[in-house]
Amino acid sequence: MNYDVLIFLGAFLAVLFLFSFIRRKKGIKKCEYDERQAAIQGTAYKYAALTGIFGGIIAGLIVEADLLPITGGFALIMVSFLMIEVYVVCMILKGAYFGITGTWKRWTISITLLGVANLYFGIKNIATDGLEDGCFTICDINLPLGILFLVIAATVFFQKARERREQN
Amino acid sequence: MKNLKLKSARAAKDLSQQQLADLVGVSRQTINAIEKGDYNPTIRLCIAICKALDKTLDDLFWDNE
Repeated sequence: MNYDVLIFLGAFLAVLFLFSFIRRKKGIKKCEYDERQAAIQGTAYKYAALTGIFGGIIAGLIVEADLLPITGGFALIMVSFLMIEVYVVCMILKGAYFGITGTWKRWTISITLLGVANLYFGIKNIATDGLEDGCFTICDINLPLGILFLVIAATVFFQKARERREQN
Repeated sequence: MKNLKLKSARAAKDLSQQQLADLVGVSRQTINAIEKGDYNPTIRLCIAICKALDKTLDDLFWDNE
């Protein structure tokens, strides 16, 4: 029996429960979207699906032809993350991601911190352990994940600056 | 095509995009998109905007040309 997994799972569920308890206590409502934002969600889903289809084909070709030093698992995870990335970036650029209330600061800070942490640990792991057989595996996912998180954070800052320019 | 009638009606009421958005229950970006002509609102939202600005649908959304 692996107790580490149970402890991790227990801690994760406790944090989840704590967050939902605080939200209920503060009376924080579920994020609501207006009609334009709901329409944009549909378009973003479409782009994400297309990314999944074409990304999957391209990733398959890259792995099969050995064009890049990546394993199949790494490619699969990267395509999944890219799908999410396309969805989120598309929604942010159309001003639809944060719903009607538009509370974005805390979320963006969290994403930035996550990105920096992933980037740091990704670089550190590769620098200390190196790549397995010279290939990126699922164990090296922190590095690209950090980059993807930071791209999302940069997109938010870019969009907010653009909105501020439009308002002036 | 830009909706200048909406923009001027909003300005006449001395409302910002955010204030109008709060009145009709949408995001500021949605009001901005309508004014810029990037988004065609549903009739439900058009009516809500007209009520908030004390205008008729013809005043704000009828294209005379």
